[in-house]
Amino acid sequence: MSQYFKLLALEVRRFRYVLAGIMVYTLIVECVAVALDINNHSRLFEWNNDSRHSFAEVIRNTQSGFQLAIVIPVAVLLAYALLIWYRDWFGRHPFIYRQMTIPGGRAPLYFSKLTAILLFVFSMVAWQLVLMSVLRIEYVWLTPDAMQEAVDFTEAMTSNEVFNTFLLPPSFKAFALNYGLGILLILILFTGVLMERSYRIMGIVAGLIYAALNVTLLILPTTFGLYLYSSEIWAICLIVFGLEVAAALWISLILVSKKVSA
Amino acid sequence: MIHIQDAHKRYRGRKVLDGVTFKAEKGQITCLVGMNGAGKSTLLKAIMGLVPLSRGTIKVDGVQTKRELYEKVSFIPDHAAMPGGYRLEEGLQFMDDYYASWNPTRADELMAFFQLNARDRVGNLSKGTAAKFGLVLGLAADTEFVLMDEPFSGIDVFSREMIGEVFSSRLVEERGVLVTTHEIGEIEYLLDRAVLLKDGKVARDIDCEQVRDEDGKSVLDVMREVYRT
Repeated sequence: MSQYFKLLALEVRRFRYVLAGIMVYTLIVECVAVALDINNHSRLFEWNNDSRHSFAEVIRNTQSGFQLAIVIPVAVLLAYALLIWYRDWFGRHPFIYRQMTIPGGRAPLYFSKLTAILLFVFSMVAWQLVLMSVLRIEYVWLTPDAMQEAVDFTEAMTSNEVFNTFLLPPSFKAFALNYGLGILLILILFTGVLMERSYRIMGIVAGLIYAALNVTLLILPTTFGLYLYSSEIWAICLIVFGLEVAAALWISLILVSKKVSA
Repeated sequence: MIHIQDAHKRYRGRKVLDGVTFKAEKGQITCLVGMNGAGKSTLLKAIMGLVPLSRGTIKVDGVQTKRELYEKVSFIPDHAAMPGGYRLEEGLQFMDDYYASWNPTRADELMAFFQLNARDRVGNLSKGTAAKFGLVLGLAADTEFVLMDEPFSGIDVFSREMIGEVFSSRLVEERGVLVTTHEIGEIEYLLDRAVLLKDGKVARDIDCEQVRDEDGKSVLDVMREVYRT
């Protein structure tokens, strides 16, 4: 277990500057988007004494800004889910030799990389929540008193589709679906990488077939379950999801322990 | 003893290893000799579990390779095998964190012997300095066997001398050393055994002293016989 935590700390340490970079990027893009919206509305307010402008409205109006703010971090994290493996194979001093010969087996290596990616994803979600407080302070600071309107913090968040449908869906079911599928995607990516690292070109072909099979199995119940109740379709999807997670872990651990070549 | 038995490995449709069998004893320096692509590095990697064999077994002291192996056998590849952004001291700390067999006092001695600066970054090291650092990482652990992959490759003459000194020092005494090299001249007089690989097979497995005494031949002479015919 201590090997796992040490390796996890190592992975976090190696990505810390990039993580800090995408956090600063998100902060800047969202702050600028909010400032621009408040500025636009302030001018309208001065011109014709327009209605008040609540924080929820600001957040709703800046959806494209939020989309821009999260697209880059999502792309970076997805790319890093591949790089977290390949980075150690290439370069002048491939680190994979050392990682694969750490006493205590290779399962801690696999789980440390997996947990690191998940940790980065949830760190970004948590950061987004912190940013909401920052944006609210910015709102209070930039909006003229006469134009301000008090609203519930939750209302502000639910007014933005980026939060509602992607980052923090209000229903547990939607939240579990989003993040469950995200975790499965990372697991499939990891398995694909390990297939390629084990069997090279044949591994790429096998990885693509494996990924296609996973997607097909997952959407099959929703496509052909016309005569089933939605709760039944949901239950079947959940079982398929569980099986796919178990299969990805099983295949990956076999590959990383016995088949991967440095 | 490291015992490789009937090792087979195919790579891109080519038989790199085709039934290789030999032993590397503790307290001896065994050299794996062969042309480029003969499978020397593949064999070392296979011992460390870095490359799976298609067929065959590898036993260290009678036990088939498993996790505990890494406390018993050190591998010195032809690069430092550390992240380029690491300082050398971080590399040493990494080894201390993960290996129970790591001996920090010996690591400090080796760093001083090779005149390495612990504040330098791995990515900025020249090939020779990286090779010396690799030796520090491999030799500072209290392991019973040391595997070295091309320790002299692309290295200047003075660095070669320093690395050559390691072979005759107490650092490798009583350990089993399995080394691959093209530059056999550097360490020929120190070798106990030489295993000559050709076409994926062991062409000759010689006791160097016996060949010197009985046949009056050097390892190089035997290599000429094997590779020029």
